[in-house]
Amino acid sequence: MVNLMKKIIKLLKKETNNQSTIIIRKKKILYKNIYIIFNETLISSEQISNFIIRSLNKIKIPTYKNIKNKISNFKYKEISTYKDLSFYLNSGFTIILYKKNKFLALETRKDLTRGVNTPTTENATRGPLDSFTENIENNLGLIKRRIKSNNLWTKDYNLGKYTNTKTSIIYLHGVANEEIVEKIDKMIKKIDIDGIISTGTIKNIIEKENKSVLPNILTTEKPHTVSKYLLDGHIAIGTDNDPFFLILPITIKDFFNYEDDDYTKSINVTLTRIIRYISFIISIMTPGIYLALTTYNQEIIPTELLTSIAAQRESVPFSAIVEALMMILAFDILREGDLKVPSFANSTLSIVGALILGEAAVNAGIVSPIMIIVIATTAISSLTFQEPEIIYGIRWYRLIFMLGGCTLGIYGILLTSIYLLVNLTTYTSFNIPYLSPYSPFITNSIKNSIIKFPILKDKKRNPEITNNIIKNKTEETYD
Amino acid sequence: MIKKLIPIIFIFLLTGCYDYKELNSINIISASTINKIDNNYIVTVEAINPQAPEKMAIESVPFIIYKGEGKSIQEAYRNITTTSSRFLYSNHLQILFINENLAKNDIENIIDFYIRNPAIRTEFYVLITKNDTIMNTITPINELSAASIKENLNTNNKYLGTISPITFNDLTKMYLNKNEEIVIPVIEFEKNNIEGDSVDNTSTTVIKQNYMINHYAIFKNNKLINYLTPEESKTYNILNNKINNTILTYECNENKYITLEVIKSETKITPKDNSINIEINMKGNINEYNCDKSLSNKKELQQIKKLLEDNLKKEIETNINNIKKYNTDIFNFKELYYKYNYKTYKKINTNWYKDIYKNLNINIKTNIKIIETGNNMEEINEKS
Repeated sequence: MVNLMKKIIKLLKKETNNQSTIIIRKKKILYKNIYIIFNETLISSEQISNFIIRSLNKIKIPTYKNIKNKISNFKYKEISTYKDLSFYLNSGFTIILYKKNKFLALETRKDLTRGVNTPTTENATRGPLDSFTENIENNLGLIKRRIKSNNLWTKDYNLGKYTNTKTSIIYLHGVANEEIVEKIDKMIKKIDIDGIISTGTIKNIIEKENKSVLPNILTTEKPHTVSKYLLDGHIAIGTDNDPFFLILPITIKDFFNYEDDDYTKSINVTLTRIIRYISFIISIMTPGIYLALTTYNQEIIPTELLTSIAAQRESVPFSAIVEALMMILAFDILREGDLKVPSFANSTLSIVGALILGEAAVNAGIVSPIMIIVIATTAISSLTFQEPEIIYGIRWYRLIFMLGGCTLGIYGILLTSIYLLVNLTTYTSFNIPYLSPYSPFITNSIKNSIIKFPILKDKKRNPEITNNIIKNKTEETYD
Repeated sequence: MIKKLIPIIFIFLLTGCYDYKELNSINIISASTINKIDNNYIVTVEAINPQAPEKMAIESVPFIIYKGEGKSIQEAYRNITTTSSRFLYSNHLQILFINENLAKNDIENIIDFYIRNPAIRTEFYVLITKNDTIMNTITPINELSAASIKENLNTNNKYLGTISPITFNDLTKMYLNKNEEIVIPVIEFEKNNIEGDSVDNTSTTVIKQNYMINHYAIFKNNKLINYLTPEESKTYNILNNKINNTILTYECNENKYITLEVIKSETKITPKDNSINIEINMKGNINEYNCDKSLSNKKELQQIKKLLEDNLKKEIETNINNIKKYNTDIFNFKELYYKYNYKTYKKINTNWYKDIYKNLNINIKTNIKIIETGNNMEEINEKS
């Protein structure tokens, strides 16, 4: 018996290359030798000495049952294979080797994650200020705090050959569409990969069906947002070690709805959303339309404006398209740099940026002032979105519009607009049309899209997403 | 993927950018004058001189005049290229000046050219000029003479009412309608024998040379025959419902005048079998008043109203009679017969200008509604 246990220890030592962080402690209780194994980097030593060692010391008769009952540890698992042993050992459990095939795994994990913090990537003027952390249990807890129902179901997986990352699908049973849940379940089960380091990997794997440059999955670090979407019948996916959750299916309207909207009167929200949609169109089309107007269809510009633009262009040696591409590139580099540099270098960057995209470039005769206005308008409009993916998607469409504008004028803009529209209508997000509720027109969810109805009038969920349609039974009373 | 991409790329590349023109490769034409001397068309164009803002020096001129000559208008236009460095871009043509010499012959060729040419918008204004150099004048406030003249046309129409702008589309409509006669505003120099084509023109507070637009040229059978006076022009506008706002000044006592600002004027012309009934309804405010009668007295106010109506009727009557002497139907009476009294139209059509138009009976009825009389109820001088 003892020999067999030694065999296991030998195997473990061999596989881990005799790693010094794995501590194997032999303990004798009366006549019985047991081994305590743990990984120093993952466990909290206090817990081991306080609860495990102390409890073991008190044991009189060292039977397996006795040990199991006497050890004062809230979470334990009985395991019997070597494979499980190594998994739990690497997850921060302490293993007690009792027999060849009777091990006890006791949770003694050290808290290696940070506490709940304020969100850093999603700003809102109103709304809860907690955000997910790198610990999936905590994250699920943050959601559970908001949806206190037995119907909040999760499906758990351990993904990644080496990482063994815990991944969960979270959905509201009875509200979420089971078909989509099963589809994603299948997709995730198929994953056979070395490692899942973040939800980004999962996002890229399950997003593959959509060839659009625009995202059909929303990422968020706010439990508030996740809960809101879960209640609407969407599905969330989270992994351990990543504060960002995935929400799906997502159609285009969801990128224009923010959580602040719930705090505002519906009439004000409607105007705000119209502005967001306009800024979406501006940031795609403006450079293209500018090129089309100034190089092909000058007759459309009012004479006074044309004269003024012509005067500004007079000293610029480049053609308008080169000028536009230069400025777009400069802005994108600046934005990329701004995201990557540490915050103390930001002021340097903004000074340099102001030089490139400003008076200095004009004085040098490289660009015209009107071009700077065009690019600045475009840039500002594209920054109204929280989801970075949509900003990246807009960039592609912007380039296509510029190409159309500078080769065929307004006609080219028309062609590329048709392309954009056809493109967006053909996309789906997990079998839901990407442009819904606009095309196809869905009365229920148009009430919370570009126009927002008061919450008392918005009583139904989107029938494309869920079969459980009624969500609000509050009666309207006028006293 | 690549198989799909290649045709898409070729769609853009093989179109060859056929209509591509950069802003700094074109000359924007804002106005153009057409004249005909010895069977040769002479086209003068006003090209905007774009200046980079920081290089705006006092010596630089806001526009440049180019001149071309040819057997046809298009040839003359293209011949300008011999002197201009850039392509002439006429889509922004704002004003077309037609020289009176050319207008005295048929203007058919001009209308044909601008209708046929797809590169020119037909919304520009048309003016008759006696002098080809009128658009060379550099004017203050709006340095570009074309823009300045365009503004002037609209301002005159809005506040004085002696002319109303005629666009090329209007001109074409008048030209093509066999019952209508053409009427075009006239532009002329304010002073004689001074050139205003240098920047110096605006260096003094009293502008050395300026242009002036205050009356119409009238045509018969598409040929210019004569000019109206400003008063006659105003009558033309009243009868054709082209008044936005105007003023009427009449004598009430000896050397004392009353001024009515007309804010609304509606004219209804009914063609009867052997006469024309004209009914003019005006609404207005009294802006200036020196007369003896009291404005606060209802009875006397009625008398003032009567006085205004009578004077207006008299003025319009005399002006119509004066215009009638030119024997051209600029009021479109014939068109009204055609529309509303076709029986009579058939009878009068053949010998309209022979005797019928000249001897047409015209009954005028005027109706003025005074809305405001101002803050002062009486004449302001109380000592008398």
